[in-house]
Amino acid sequence: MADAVPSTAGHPSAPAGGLRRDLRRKLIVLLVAKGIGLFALWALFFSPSHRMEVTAPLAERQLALDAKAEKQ
Amino acid sequence: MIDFDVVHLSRLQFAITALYHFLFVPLTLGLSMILVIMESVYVMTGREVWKQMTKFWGMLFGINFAMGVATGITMEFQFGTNWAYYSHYVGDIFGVPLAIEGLMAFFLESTFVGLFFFGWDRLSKVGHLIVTALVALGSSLSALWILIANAWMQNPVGAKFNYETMRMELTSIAEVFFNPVAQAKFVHTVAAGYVVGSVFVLAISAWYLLRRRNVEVAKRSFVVAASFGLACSLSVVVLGDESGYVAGENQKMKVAAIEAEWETAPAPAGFTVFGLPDMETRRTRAEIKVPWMLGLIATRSLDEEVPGITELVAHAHTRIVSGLAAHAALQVLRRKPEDPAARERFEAHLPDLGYALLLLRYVDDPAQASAKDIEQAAWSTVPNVPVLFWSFRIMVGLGLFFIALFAAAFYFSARRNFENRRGFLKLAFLSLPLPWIAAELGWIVAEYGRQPWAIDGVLPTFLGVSSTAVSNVWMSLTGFIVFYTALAVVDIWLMVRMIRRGPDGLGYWPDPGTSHA
Repeated sequence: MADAVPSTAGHPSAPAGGLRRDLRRKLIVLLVAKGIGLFALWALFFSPSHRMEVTAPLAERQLALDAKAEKQ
Repeated sequence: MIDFDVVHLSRLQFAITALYHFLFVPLTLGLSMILVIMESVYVMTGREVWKQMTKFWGMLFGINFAMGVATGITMEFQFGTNWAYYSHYVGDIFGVPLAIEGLMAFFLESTFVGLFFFGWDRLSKVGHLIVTALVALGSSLSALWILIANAWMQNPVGAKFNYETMRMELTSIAEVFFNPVAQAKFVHTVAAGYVVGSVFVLAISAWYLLRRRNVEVAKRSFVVAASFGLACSLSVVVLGDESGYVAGENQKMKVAAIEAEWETAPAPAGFTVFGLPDMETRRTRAEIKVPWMLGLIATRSLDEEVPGITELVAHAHTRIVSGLAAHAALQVLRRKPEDPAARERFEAHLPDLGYALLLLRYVDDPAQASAKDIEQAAWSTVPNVPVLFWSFRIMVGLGLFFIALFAAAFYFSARRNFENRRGFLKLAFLSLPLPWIAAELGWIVAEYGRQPWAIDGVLPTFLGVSSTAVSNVWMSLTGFIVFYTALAVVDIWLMVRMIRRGPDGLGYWPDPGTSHA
């Protein structure tokens, strides 16, 4: 796990530009993977078809407040 | 009409995911703090073995942390999928600490977990120690915000129901943050997490010592776990007592159910050490009581009574009748928001509105409720007494066992003769699952004891559920069980593999036997 990221300490003569390009490429891959993951989560759980929107009138019905108020 | 199959299945799903998630949380809390202790010794002494210990236990922490994250996220989804009315009714308040937890504590924790693993060769010794400390701080802050949200469910302060929006709205964020229940729960839960971490390290170290492997790492880890575990197991009892006292102030029914106290006893009430509570006859058979003890624990006085279940049900009955007036006034206000008489009546009876809502389990319109319906609703405020009674006693019994275990481990550590006490090492290893049992039972006492309320006194659980088909909940419940079982297999496999290989077999660092501390 500790060896998963290339270390500059072991390569003192490695060109900085190459490392920067490598880092940029890895960051882009990670961000794209994260974007896909987030989209999948949205599609599976949060898209409108999966969401039940509760409004005040719906809550009113849930609490049985839509019975005839006039009887009061 | 509410589908009670959806209610029961949604509750089961949330209970399974919460209990499963809580297998990982206490170990994350405990191990992160133990890592700070081990790395501090490394920074202070410069001895390589302490660095290797931090790395080895840190690896196990990493596996556990990843599982904890994966199982925690799904719980938050369920507020939207299964508990839509709950989210509408109290989301304005409940969502605040959850959002802060995600944005502040979890991000802090996750970022520094990355630095913990990849920063060994890139940060100074002190810099890395600060990172480890921030991981531990992030874990504790995560627990704090979650427990602030949970405490609001137990003791809903700093909020008021708005009849125009039909939801609870925040009136004082300070009251929510400084909720006394949150404070008591936080310190008790975090200390319990430290005990879980300590038993874990103690048990695995004992296993190595029994096999004479990784002796240098295991000996030091054993001593750290014994010392830290003793302090924390003593704290858990003291802080648990505080948590019980706070519950005695805010959730009298929960305390009465835990004690199976059906009738109010003269002060100071005795504590039932053993008994067989029966919900049918509303009596406890074969009970063995310790005089005065409950009165002292629950009220910290000799002359204050601890109300019994029957008395509290009578009180609930009164509140249901009062709540009916609030419900009737609310019906008028929904159509004539400016009606002054209705508003006055509503404000006068608002604290009891939730109690009238309990009637919706028995009737479609609370105004039509009979005396029998009201009686049933009043008795529905009693949680499952035998479950709470025994969960609490097993949890407390295990808590006392941990004190004895750590006291013995500490004594043997001080005498420097624990390595050859094979009987004790076996006992320490076999104790490995016990803190998880205690932690899960603690959650059962806290959350099952909150029933029938989602928000104590405000919103009955069955009214918070989404209007969805039973088949949907069956599908997600099955999915969770399959997914979580797979995760459990992976987790146990990874942990066992890592422990079996041990610090000497992992090969990420020099053999600890080569350095002498």
